[in-house]
Parts: sequence; structure tokens; C-alpha cells
Amino acid sequence: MAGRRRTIILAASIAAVTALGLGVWRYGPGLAVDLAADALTRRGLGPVAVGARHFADGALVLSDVTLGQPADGASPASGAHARQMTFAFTLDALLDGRLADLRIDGLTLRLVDGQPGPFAPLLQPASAAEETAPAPLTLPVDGATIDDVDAAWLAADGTPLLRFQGSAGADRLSSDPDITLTGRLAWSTADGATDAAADLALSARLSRADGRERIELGGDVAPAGGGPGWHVDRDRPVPVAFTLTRSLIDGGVRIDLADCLNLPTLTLDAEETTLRLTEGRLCPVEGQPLLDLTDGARSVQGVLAGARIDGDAVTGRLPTVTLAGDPLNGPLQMTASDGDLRLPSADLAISGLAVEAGIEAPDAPEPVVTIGRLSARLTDIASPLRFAPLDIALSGRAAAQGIELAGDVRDPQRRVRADITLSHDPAAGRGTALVRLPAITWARERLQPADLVPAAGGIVTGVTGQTAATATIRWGGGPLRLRLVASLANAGFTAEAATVSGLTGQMVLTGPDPWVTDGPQTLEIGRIEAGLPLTDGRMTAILTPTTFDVVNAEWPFAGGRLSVEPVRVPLSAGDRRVILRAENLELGLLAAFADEPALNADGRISGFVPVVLGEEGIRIDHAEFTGQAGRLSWASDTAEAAAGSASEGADLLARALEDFRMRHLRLTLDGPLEGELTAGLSLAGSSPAVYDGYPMEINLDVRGPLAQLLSVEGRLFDSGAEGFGQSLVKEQSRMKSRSPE
Amino acid sequence: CQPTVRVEAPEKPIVINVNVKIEHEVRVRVEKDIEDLLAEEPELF
Amino acid sequence: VPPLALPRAAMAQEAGLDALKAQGLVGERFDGYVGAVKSQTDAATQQVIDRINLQRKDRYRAIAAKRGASLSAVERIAGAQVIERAPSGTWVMPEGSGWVQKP
Repeated sequence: MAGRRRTIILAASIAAVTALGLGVWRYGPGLAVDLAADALTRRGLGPVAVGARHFADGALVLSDVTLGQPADGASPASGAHARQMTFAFTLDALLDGRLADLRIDGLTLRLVDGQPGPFAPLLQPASAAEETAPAPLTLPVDGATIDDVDAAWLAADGTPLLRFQGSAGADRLSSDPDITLTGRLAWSTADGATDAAADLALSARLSRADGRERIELGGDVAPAGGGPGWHVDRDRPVPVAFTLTRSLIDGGVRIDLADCLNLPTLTLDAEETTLRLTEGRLCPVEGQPLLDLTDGARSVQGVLAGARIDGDAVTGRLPTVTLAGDPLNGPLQMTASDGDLRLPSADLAISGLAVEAGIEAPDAPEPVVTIGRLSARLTDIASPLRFAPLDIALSGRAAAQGIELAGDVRDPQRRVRADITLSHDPAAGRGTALVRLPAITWARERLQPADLVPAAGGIVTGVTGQTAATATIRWGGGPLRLRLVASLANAGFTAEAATVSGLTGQMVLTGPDPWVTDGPQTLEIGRIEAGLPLTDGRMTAILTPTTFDVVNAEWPFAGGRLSVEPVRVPLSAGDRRVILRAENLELGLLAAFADEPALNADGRISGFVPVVLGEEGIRIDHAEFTGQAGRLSWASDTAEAAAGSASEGADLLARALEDFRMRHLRLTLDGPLEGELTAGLSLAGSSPAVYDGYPMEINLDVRGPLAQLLSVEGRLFDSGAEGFGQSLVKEQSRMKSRSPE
Repeated sequence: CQPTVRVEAPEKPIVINVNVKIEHEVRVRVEKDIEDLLAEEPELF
Repeated sequence: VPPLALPRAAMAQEAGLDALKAQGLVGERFDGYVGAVKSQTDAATQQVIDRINLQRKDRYRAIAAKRGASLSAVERIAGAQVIERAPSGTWVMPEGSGWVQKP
């Protein structure tokens, strides 16, 4: 532990110089000096040179005292120099073999890394064999003050690594010393990247009991400075209070924090954003030492609590982090809880952040972190809300060569769950995630997509049936790539254009921008409410970046077939045309759409239905159907009532339609699918009941909703029917007419 | 006299035109449905 | 730990239709749907409008199918009824007119 050796050096060097002073007391000034010098050199702590010495008002004053070779300018050398040392003594102190007071002015101390110079013997790690009990830090001096200290540990090239400038004082050094230390401790790395300093105003009380030495240290520390990616601004001094306990048996050291330590504001410069950590507190774990190096153990236990983090990327309260374990060889357990962060640029809030992780070998070049649990609630704080809050719980491993996490994401009400497995290669900056959404059951008045993604409420509502999906997400080296496999089981929804149900099938999409299908996709379309219900449809289509290509779409309809001609429908806004082909629709089945089918007919019609998918909804743009031979007969009480009624037209029409033999039929249809349409039915044929099958033409124009166009019969003979009129070619009818004039 | 054979144009068919506008005698029932809807789902209105 | 309080804007998301009407942001139209009264409407209000209108269309379409009426007819009947019942002060758009405040 380099730190431990350094403290010993500092203490020992002060002790060495003080011992010099003691020597003087015992053997008179000159003699004392020489004897002390010899004593030190015999221990290898020399050479010692004293400039001048004299007695002044009862105290021995030595000036220009040097330990070790004076620096010869060029290369720095380890050694110490005191401008002036004053040894004061009183009679009773003398009798006790103690000095009353030691005063050192202008102590300069240099220890060059790797060249211990005069301090070499102090630095020899005691070999196991003659491991002597660590000497207690006590000296036969009552009080000592050292003003203008400049002690530094230098790198080989002379740059100071650790330097203390200030002054020190001590009372009752021979019994339970009370030491004060004020000044500035600065440290920097050899490469000059780190340069930080702390102003110290510390006092320490030493005490010894049952084989242990306790140093209770308190005071203020005001750090400032920085290094690669971090710096601490000068701030109000931070009160410090901890106890260092050293075993006098095996030298084991233990540090206990008396109270939480208010950490200074730390500023981190990460890539382009800066983060400020404030209000952090380092607290002890209840009744546990912060650092424990006693009897072979090596562990830290501490709690970093209440730290705030502020930056443009993230702001909020960091979780309370508890660390426990061996900081070097690990395992180092970390638990964190109650983090509440807000990511303003992403409009996200993270709350309830909790982590349980173990770092296997913290000091190893590439530590491995096993994550027992990483959970948080992700809340969208954008307006409008983009998605409902998500509870994420992951576990796995993170190491330099790869991060693997697995777990699930749920909505707080536990209605939807997605399993996630994620792997990321930090070196290559690439990764993939597999998200599996098991079947979700949607139902009216219960779970709806809008409950999870509010914006969906404007796109689909009344969603029913089951959906499931798996998504493979790839990132790194270019934009995010997604492959989505969605499977629908009897799904249904209401959208602006139509209400659809009975959707079954699987779709494979890749994207985003643009979303495209992975080749043609086929879906069963159970039912479309399109004015008239279209059932048992099936569509195969391809989504391309700019178009929705219908490869094939067909519905069995009225005994025949409705199918979409293969078409590329542009995705861009504006009206889009699709041609629907009608083949062999049976008139009888068409009539069945009416509420009370009085019409029975046989005969088939075919034709084309141009459909326009416009902003205002779906519109039929002049559909036309034609049919050849067939028979129509309208048997209903209103028809009978009309036959023989006063209105000649109604009578003629009714009798004709009792049994109408059709040679040709033409049907046109035009108008908004869900609005008022106009249908034109023209029948050419004859009826045996009318002038012995005299050729007739019946033109029927009907306006109304699609579903009602065929239940027209009720109104056909309604004298109130608006615009009921007929044009008779008078002379033909007279010639043929059997009816009375 | 020489009988001439004239091909008679086929008789002109009797033409019946009917215009029907499907009135909404369903109007009353729809109004009732709307009232029920307003009562059952007030949060939509 | 209570989640972060949602900011007021996100609150608009939950704000019911009545609140938006009371603020004069949303009004009732002759065609049975709600519309934004102001020309610029914030996204949260627009999202409520889209959601409400689609839910209304869902109900209107069901009535049209049940009664054999056309959707547009049902929409008009609903529009008339809703405007007639709207409390005074509500912004309404009768057919062929702009937004007016109901007296």
C-alpha cells in the first residue's frame, strides 16, 4: 500500500529530525549534535550537517541543519533541510528525560521516487523474519511546532507528485498527542494530466489502548483541481471526521467514518456534455469501517448517498449506492436504489432505479460486472405522451469484451410483458436485441393500443383479437435496423377508412425509414364493414418504401368474386385509385342483402368497381356491371297492390316485374361508400304479362346508402316515390294494349 | 301493285323510369340510438 | 418512491374533452365530430381530438350498420343533436359556417 509507506516516511522524517534535537539535550550542544549525527548515520540516516548552534534564552538553537546530500542543482536528491531548530526545556522536563518544546522553522523535505537517499533504512519493508512490532508514534517531547513545512515526494525527473506546504503542531507528544496540520496538500500525476490540491485544516488526537493506536482526525478540507475528464471547483471547505485505528500487533489499519462526508461538487467532462455531481455524501455502512485492512482482510464498505447530477443530457438524483467488498481483487458488491433521473433531450424520466451488481476483479485491467438486477421505471414526459410508463428489469453480465443482458419490460398494470435479450460489443460498438411480445389480447373497454401508445388512439380504436410480435433490433455502424414479425389472430379494429375484423396471419416487416415488408405478405381479412360487409377476404401485398403493392386481394361475394387488380398504391397522401373486379355476382344473392328479399332473380352480372381511397374516405367512382339473360320476379304484397292501381306506371311496372325475362342488364354505382350513393339499374327485356312480351326497358335510379340500395322494393311502388314517372310510347301501347282506353 | 317488303323497325320498347330516393324513415331510430350513445358514453361528447 | 409528477403539458393528455371545450380549444361540428377551434393546436390537444373522433366514428358506423342508414346521415344526426344540447358558450360550427360561440 504505497499510501501507507508515504505516511510512515513523513512521520519518520519528522521523528528523525526531532531525535536529532533530543541528542543535543543529553550531551550538550556540540557533543549532542555529533552523537545524534552518529546515531542517525549508524542507522543509515545520514549524513547530518549542522550549520551553526548557539544558546538563546534557555533554548538550544541549531541553524542550517541538513540531512542527506544537499541537492547539487542538476538532479533532485532525497534529503531534508531545516532552516532553524529550537529546543526548549524546563527543569522537570529535563528530569523526565523529555524536551519541553521543539520548534522547527523552514523544514524542506524531499523524497525522490526510487532514490530514498537517507531515508532508505526507513523504507526497507521489514522482511518477514525480523518483523518488529510497529513503533508507536510517540516522542519524548511535550510540544512541537513546525512552521513553513515543504515536504514533497518527487518523481524521478523532479516533478512533485505529492507535496505538502504549511505548518504542523503537536502537544503532549509523549503521552496522547494532539496534532494539528494546516496547509495545502497538492498531488499531480507524472504526466501532468492530473493536478489537484486541497487546503487542509486538520486536527488529530492520538490515543493508545489494548494494543491499538487510534487517531481521531477531524477538520476541514477544501479540494480543487482536476484531471482527465474531471475537476473539482474550489468550494466551501468540506468537514471531515474519521478515525484511523492501527493495530500495534500486526500493523493492520482500519478507517471508520464518524459521520457522512459531504463531497465537493465534481464536474465530469464526458464527450460533448458536462455533468455536475453535487450534494453527494459518503456515509459509513452502519457500524462498519469504511476501509478495513486488519488481520489480512481488505474491504471497503461505504454508501454514496443523495448525489444530484445535472447536465443537459441528464438531471436528477443519483441512486444511493452501497459498495462493499475487496476493492482490488473483488468481489466488490454494489447495490443502488431510489435513483430519479430525467433525460430532458429525450423527454424521459427514470425513477426507482435499482441495481444489484458484483464487480469480480475491480483492479483487473478488464473488470467483469455481473448484474444480478437492473430495474427502473421509464416514464415518458413528452407532450403529448408517446408511451405509457414501462417497468424494466434486466440481469446479466457486462465486461469490456461484451455486455449481455436479459429480462423483461412490463407496463405498470402488468397487462403487457415483453421479454428482452440484449448483447452489445462495446469495442465494435455494435449490438443486437431480441424483443418478444407474447400474445396480447385486445378487447373493447379493456386493453387498447391507446393505453400503451396514446397516439394509436387516433389511428385505431375498438381493437379486438390477439396479436403477438418478435422484433430483432440491430445497432451500431449506421442507423438502427429492426425486423418485426407480427402475427395476428382474429384481430379487428376501427380505423378512419373502415372497420375490419377477423384479421389473421403473419407479417414480416423491416425498417424503420422506410418500413418495408420482407416480400409479399398474406392476411386473411375476415370482415370489412364497407357499406356492405365484405367477408372471408384474403390479401397478399408488399409494402415498398413508396407504395403499397396489392399482389392479390379477393373476396367471395354474392356467389361470385370481388378481386383487386394488382396495383401499386402510392403511400403519399392524396387520392389513390384501386380497381375492384366483380365476376359472376348472382342477382338473387345480391338481392339477399335487402332486409326482406321480395325479389328473386337468377342471372349473373360482372363488371368493374373503381374505388378511390381519398382524404374524405373511400368513394366508388362510376362502377359499372352488366349481365345477360336472366329472370326477375318481384313477389310482394306491395307489388300486388300496385298492379291494377290507378297509377298507370306503377301498374305497368308491377305487372312487368311479376315475371320479367331479362335480355340485358346494366347497373351503375357511384358515390361515397359510407354516404349517399346513386345506383342506376336498367333492364331490357319483356314480360309475358305485359302486351304479350312486348319489349320493355326499365330504368331505375336509386339514391341512398349502399346497404339499402337493394331493399328498394318497398319504395319502388310507393306513389310517393319522388320522380316516379314513365314515358310510354303512346301509339305502340295503344296498338298492342289490350287494356281499356 | 307490287307489295313492298319493309323491314319494320323493331317496336319501340315501353320505357319505365323510376327515381327513388331512399328516405330515412330510419331517422327516428337513429336519433334514439344517438341519445343512448350520449347517455352511455358521455366522456366522448 | 412516487414517480416524478407529470408536467402540466402531459396532463393535457388526460384532460377530458370537457376541459378542452371549457378552455375554448375544442368545439362541436355539424358533422358529429369535434374540431380544433384555434388554428395552431398543441399536439396533446390534437391527439385528444383524433382519439375522440375515431371513437365517435366507431360508434356511428355501428349505428349505421344496425339501422341500414349511411354513416354520413348518422354523423349529421349526431352533430345536430350534440350542438343542440351543447351548453351556451360552447364553440360550435354549424354547416356552412365558421366557429361561433353558442349563445
